[in-house]
Amino acid sequence: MEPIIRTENLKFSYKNQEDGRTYEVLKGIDMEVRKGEFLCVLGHNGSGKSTLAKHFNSILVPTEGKVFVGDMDTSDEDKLFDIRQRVGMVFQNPDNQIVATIVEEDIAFAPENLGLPREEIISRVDFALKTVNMEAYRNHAPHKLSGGQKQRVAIAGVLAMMPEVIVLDEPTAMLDPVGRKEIMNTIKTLNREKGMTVVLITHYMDEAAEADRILVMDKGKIKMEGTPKEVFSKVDEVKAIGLDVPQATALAFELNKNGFNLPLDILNTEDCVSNIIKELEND
Amino acid sequence: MIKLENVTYTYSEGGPFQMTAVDNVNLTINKDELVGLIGHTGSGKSTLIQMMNGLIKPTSGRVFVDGKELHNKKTKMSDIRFKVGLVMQYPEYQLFEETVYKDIAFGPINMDLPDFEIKRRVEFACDAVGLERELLDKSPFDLSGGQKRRAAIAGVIAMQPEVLILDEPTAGLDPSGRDEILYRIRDMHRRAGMAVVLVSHSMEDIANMADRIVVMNKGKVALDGKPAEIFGRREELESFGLSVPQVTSITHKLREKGYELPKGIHTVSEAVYEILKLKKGAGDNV
Repeated sequence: MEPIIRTENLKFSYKNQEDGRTYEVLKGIDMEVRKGEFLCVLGHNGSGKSTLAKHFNSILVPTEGKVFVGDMDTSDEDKLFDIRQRVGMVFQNPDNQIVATIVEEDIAFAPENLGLPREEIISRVDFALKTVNMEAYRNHAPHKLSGGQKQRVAIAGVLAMMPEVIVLDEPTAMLDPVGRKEIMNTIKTLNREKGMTVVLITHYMDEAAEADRILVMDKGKIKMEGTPKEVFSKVDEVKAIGLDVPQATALAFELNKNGFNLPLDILNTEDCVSNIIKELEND
Repeated sequence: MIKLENVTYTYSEGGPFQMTAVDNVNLTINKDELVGLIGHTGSGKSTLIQMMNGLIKPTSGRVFVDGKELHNKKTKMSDIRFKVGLVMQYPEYQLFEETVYKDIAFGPINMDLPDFEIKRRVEFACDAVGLERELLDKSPFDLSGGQKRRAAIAGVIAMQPEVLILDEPTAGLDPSGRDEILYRIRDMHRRAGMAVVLVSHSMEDIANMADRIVVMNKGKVALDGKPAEIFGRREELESFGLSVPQVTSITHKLREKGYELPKGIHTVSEAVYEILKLKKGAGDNV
C-alpha cells in the first residue's frame, strides 16, 4: 500500500531550560502510515509516541531527518495549511478541543476558517455529524454532553476539514466503558466504511487488537511492528517493554505454561473460548 | 469508618436545571476495606466521594466519619479532611510548589506538625508511592507523567489519612505505570491498614484490587458485594453502561457451553486455576 505519511531517520530533541541539557525523544524513526490502514501506536509513557504523532501534521518538526505527508515536507512552512488539512488530530481531553457553545457551530469552526461557501460548510457539518452518529445533538450545548459524545463532537470537528488521515492521541483515556466503545465504533466506521486512514495512539490493548497494524515504541525507537496477532503473541517481549497483552492472550499464555497447547495469537473472547473448548474436548 | 445515611445531593435545587446526582444513598465504608466504586459517567460516583470528606454538603441526609457527623458545628472540618484523603482525577494538575518536597509537605505543614515530623511524613509518602527520594528537590514540573501523578498522591498520603479515596488514579497511565500505582495502593492498604475507596472505569483494575465493589447507577447504589458476585451479574452491569473484564466474558461463554466453572471469575490467575481443573476433570471422566 502507498504511504501517505513517511518518516526518514526522524530525530527530535529539545533543550530543557532548567538544567540546560538536551533530551533526545525520538532517536531515528523510519516508518510509514499507509493509505487506508488503521494503524495503532503503542508504547509506555515517555516512549515518544505522542511526540511522533505531533510530527504527522507539523505541530512539531524534526530536529534531524524528514517527515513527508504525501510529497510535502512537514518542515516547509509554506505547506503548513495543506498539511493540517490533510492530517487532522484529536487529543485526549475533549473539553480542550471544543470552542463553540453549540455543537454544529463547533463543527463548522474549521470549514468557516477555510473560507468555504455556506452550502459547502452546511454539507460538511451534516456529513461529520452523521459519520459520528451525533445528528440528534446538532443544536445541543457541548458541555451538557457525556464524555464519549463530546469526544465524538471533537472528531466531527476534524472530519469537517475532510482530512485524509485522522490521528487520535489517546482519545478514550478519560472516558467510561460506554464512551470508549462509542469512540472505537466511530473509529472503525471511519476506517472500514469511509476508507479514512486512522492512526490511533492508546494504552488500551483491546483497542490495539482491532487495528490492522501495530507499532510499538520504546525509548524513542520502534521496537516492534506487525499485525496485532504477530505483536501480542510475543507476550514476554511485550511485557518486557512495560506493556500488556489482552486478557484473552494472557489467559492462553498462562494455560500453555500448564500443559495446554493453545495458539498464542488469540486476541478476542470468541477465539479464546473456541480454542479452549477444542483443547478440552481433545483431552 | 465512613457512614452515609439517606444521603441525597441535588445540583441547582429549585432552579430550572435541577438534577439529583445522588439519590437517598445508604453506604458504610469499613476500616480495612478496599472498596471499588464503579458506575458510568454521570452515575453520581464523583459527587458521592466528595461528600465523604465534606467537600460538598448533602442536600439531605447525614454523613459520619469515625462516628462524628459532618456539617455539625461540633465537628472540625479540618480534622475530617486529615482523616479522609481525597485524590482527585488528574491530581498532577494541582501540583504547584517549587519543589516536590514542598508540594508533598503542604498538607502536613497545614496540620501544624513539627519540622521533623513533616520531614518524616514526606519521606514516608515518597517511599509509599515509590518515588525516588532524589526527586524531592526537583521542580514537580520536571517529572514524568507517572512521577507527577505519584507525587500528587504522595501529597495526600503525607497527611496519613485513615481513608484514602482515589478518583481514577490510573487514567492516562501506561500499563506499567498503572500496575505500579495499583501495587503501591494495595501495599499501603495492607501495611498501613488504610481503608481505600477506588473509583475506576477499568473493570480489570477493580477486579484485581477490590475486596468489595459498589456499583452506582442513576444516583443510587445498584449493587454492592464481592467481586465474584458483582461480575457474575454481567447483564445487569451492561445495562448500567458498564462491562466485565475480558476473562469474565470468556469464562461466562464457557459456562454457557456447559463447562462447569464458578460464576464471576474475574482475574486471569483464577481463570487459569479453574480451567486447569476442568482439564483434569475431563480426563477423569474418560
